[in-house]
Amino acid sequence: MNRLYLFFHKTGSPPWFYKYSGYLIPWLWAGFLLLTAIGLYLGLLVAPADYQQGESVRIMYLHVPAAWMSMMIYGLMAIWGFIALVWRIRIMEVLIISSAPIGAAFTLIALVSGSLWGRPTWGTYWVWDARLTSELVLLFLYFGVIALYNSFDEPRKAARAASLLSIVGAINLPIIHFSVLWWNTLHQGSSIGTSGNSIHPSMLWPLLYMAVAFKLYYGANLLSRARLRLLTQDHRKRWVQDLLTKESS
Amino acid sequence: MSHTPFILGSYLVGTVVLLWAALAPVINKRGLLRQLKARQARMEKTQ
Amino acid sequence: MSRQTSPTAFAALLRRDFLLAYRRRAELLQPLLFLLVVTTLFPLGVGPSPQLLANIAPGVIWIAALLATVLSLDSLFRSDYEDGTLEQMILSGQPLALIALARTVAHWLVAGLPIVLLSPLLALWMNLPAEGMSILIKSLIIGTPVLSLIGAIGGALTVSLKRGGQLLSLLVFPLYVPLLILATNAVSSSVAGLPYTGQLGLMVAGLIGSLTLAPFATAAALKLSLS
Repeated sequence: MNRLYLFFHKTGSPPWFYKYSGYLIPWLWAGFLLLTAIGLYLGLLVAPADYQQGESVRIMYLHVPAAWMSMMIYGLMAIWGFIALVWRIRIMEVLIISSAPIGAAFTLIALVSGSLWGRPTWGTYWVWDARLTSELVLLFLYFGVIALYNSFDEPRKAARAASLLSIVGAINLPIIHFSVLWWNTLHQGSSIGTSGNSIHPSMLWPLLYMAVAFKLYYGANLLSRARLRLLTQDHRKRWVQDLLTKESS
Repeated sequence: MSHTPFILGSYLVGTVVLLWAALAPVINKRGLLRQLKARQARMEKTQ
Repeated sequence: MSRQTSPTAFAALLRRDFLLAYRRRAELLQPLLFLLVVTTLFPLGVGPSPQLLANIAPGVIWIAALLATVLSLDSLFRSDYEDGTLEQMILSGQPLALIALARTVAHWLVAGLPIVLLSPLLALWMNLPAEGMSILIKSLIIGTPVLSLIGAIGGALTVSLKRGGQLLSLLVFPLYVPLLILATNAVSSSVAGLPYTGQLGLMVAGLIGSLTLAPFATAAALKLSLS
């Protein structure tokens, strides 16, 4: 118990976090690049074209993992936020606000690639398709968290407000998703979906490689953003000053 | 219709967005460190 | 000083809010006038074709109701925050969620209920068929409290900010999406002669869910804004 408590205390301390995350980041980037290379090779060159969608199915290897990430990151933000609100761990407050831009970036990629996929497949850039629509709402949720955070002057208060908002948003996210899905099936005939049919392994593997690669990307980018934020917030504190003298000497 | 421009376009957008998101903290950190070091040097001079 | 029981405190808070609302009754009219003006703009914008108006009527009325609610949300906690009443309420020892709920109920009664009462006129203007009228009113009765409950969270989060209005709409509109979908669909279904009880049932579920959860989130947001 005591050791566990010590672990949390240490991990929660900014200097410790700063030091050890610095060791981790290069490995995460390396893993990301390796897996992306394999995933892109399999997806763009090896995997066959789909008999329904043709070559445009290759967009899916970008679109689907990005859409997964956009939802996963929002869920994680709610978890970081919950921990931040209940135990007041500052690292978690930093993590939640560092996650938001990355999540928004993945949402943006999912939206743009989805709409570029729609042009050859549906014949138009934008259809109020269920998935695209709920991605769009998700993007607004991300913007809301970022805008709320930026409106406060005091970073800790801002982070707790953002935490609360992302928890509320995460409770609503499944409801939004299913309501949009239901709304869509009412308004238009079933569009060409990718679901339903069992997916062939040659298409599944690149998808999985890309999904894991994006998770590593999130890890690396999250840690480097969190480190920057800690430096900015603590720039008057002792450990940052020590760090600077060590680096310049 | 050829699908290639749409595939390349979406991967291009993906690359640009991910690159931007990855480089933003690196660039900002460089600026911050320079600023902090300059301040530290200034403080040492006055001491 | 004797400590009041929670129901008494709840009633006292409601009474106070009504009194305040009554004294500022000119201000209360503004969201309603806004509702009327926005609804008037639609026929002017899309043309007076009765069929077209009937088709978009549920959506237009509901969106106008969302906009009017968000307009009135910004002032929900603001004056209490600025004059220190909110701090006194927290110090009173009553559970903060109860205080938040009382404030939300009062908000619905002075801002949400008038929208419900005004909706027949709007439906008439928008040429909504008679079958849809009662469902529209029902959907607004179930839905507007949810607007107030969820909106109160946003209002509490932004209360300490100088200019919270636009931020508030960015925060709450995405959360209103499911409600808007269900409500407008219930009305259109009833006009088309399709079943609509499922949608209304889900809206009631949403009302119960937000009634039990939202006051706690609002209370947490208020505490945060005051810290």
